[in-house]
Amino acid sequence: MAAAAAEATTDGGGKMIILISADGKRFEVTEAVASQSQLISNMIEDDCTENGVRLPNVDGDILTMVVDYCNMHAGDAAAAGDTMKASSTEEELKKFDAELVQALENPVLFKLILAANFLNIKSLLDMTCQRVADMMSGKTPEQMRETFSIENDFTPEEEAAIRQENAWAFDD
Amino acid sequence: MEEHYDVTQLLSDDALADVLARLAPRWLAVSRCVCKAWRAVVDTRHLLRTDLLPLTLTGIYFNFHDIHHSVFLSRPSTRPGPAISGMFTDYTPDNNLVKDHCNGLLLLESGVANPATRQWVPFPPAPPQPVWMKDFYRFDSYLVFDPTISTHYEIFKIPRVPSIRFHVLDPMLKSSQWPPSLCVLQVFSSRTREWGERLFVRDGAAAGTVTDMALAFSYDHYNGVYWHGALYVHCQGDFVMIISLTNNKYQVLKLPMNTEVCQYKNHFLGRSMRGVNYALIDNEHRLRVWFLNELYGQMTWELKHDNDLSFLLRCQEICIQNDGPWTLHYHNYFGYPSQNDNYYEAYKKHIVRKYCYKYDSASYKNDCEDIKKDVVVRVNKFEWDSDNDDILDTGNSNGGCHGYFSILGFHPYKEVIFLNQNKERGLAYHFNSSKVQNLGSTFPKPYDDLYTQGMCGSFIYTPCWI
Repeated sequence: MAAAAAEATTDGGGKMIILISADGKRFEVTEAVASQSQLISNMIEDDCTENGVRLPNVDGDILTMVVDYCNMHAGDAAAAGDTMKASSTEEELKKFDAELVQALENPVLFKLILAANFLNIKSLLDMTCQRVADMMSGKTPEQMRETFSIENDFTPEEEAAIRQENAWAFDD
Repeated sequence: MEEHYDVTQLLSDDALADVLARLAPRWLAVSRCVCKAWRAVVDTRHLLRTDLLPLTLTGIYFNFHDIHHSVFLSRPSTRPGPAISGMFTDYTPDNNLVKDHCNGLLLLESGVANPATRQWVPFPPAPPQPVWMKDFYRFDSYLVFDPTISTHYEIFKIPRVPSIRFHVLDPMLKSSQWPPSLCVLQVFSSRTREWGERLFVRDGAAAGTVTDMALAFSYDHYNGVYWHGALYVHCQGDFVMIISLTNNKYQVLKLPMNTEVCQYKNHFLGRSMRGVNYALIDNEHRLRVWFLNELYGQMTWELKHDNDLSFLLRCQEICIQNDGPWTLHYHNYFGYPSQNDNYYEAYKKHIVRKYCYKYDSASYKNDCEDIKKDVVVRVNKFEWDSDNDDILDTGNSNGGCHGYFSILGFHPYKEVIFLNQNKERGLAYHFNSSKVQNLGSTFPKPYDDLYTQGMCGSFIYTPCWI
């Protein structure tokens, strides 16, 4: 899929820019697609995308997903290039988002949050953060720790005291 | 496969805060216990606003027979900033009687009010009743709202079997089980802003037949409790319907004490700190309180308090002499002479006709003078925060035993039950110490003219600012 994005030519309309991941993978996207990232949008305005945009804290596989997401959400079908001929209807978008977010497993989901946070793509950040929040809702502290492999660094006494501070939130 | 490691450590504090801020307050409170890093993010950014949650008791709403406005007995404010006005008539249209309360929201006739935020949201009238309920004319509505999990609420309409004295039932229906094994309830959801029907399947035996219910004593008001995803509705015929909102099933649970104790029972189903409680005061002024123990899916009533309250009635004089620290807010039928006098006169005529009482206009005029200025009886200067205020001296109790008690409700966070003595006086009774505090007057003096028959329904109010 990274290749698909990279194959896109300038025929789609709009200027192309190149994103370079931490591990050196290159992604060619239209400005319209890339400017969903507030960070890149600012760089385009400042004219400093000529030599490609280096993203030293985003891995290639994560950037692939980000680029896919941005292509899907670019709104203007033409800007998304030849591979995205069919204009994405709202329903398709919802389905795409739901599938993307459901499929995400722990480390990837968190790396995607980091990328969305760094690139400042609000809709992707909202979606991924909400996914993590949904994974936490309805769980006990122990279940939350299991879900995210977190080590409990409280002593039993400390934990009991913290629970007591909000006794209303615990069933017993 | 990736190795298991603490993935949340990947996140900066900002990103973690972005995730945690999306949690409902309950899960946010739980997340504070997960690890030190999470607690630090929650605490330093003040993500958990417990001050907005209904975790404090600020007063008690209650209703009197034939009086179309609820009265509010207000606890002295312990919160900085403006106190909550118990009155909501200025922002609700013709809806002044509280029908139910749940975690800060009041259910009125045609809408839901939040006195803390002064918000009012009307809901559409319920659609016609389902066919199987054509013989039922009485429904009681109950609010389900838990702002620690969601800002949405639901309203459940529970059908009551009409009393046999007033209604002739279909013979077929008379012998059928009640509640029915498949119970369709009308439910309003604030999410869709529509009424819909929800099917609940009975798990276990029925309470009896429709005839049994029609013959049972019928009260004007039955309390409901929402607790841990279930709605507990007190029903005629001495049982509780426990409606599970998570699996669409319901159960029938008999109350711990049956009708033989007293004909007109003074009882109350309510919520306290640990869950659902049931209190009963019998004709001999004996107070019994049971806690509903639901451990391991077994429901049993555990008697947790049993005491004779006649000693309190014997020190009645002390109660009457002292003004308590709580204040009474009530609708002032006399407030604005030009407009409300007519209203009051019409209302009074209605009441007088109803009870065929003679009306003494002189005393009405005096009362008018007394309270023209303000609905709030008086500005209090006491604090009721301490457990030690206004403790009644119950040692000196050699007077006669006059009067009666009714139950106002349970303190949601303390081992306290609120009682009402002769509808005149509010009391806080501490289970563990049998200590009694005088709260204040519960009956507006001018209502003497309205010949009310006493109290019907009370609601412990815990404000919510969400």
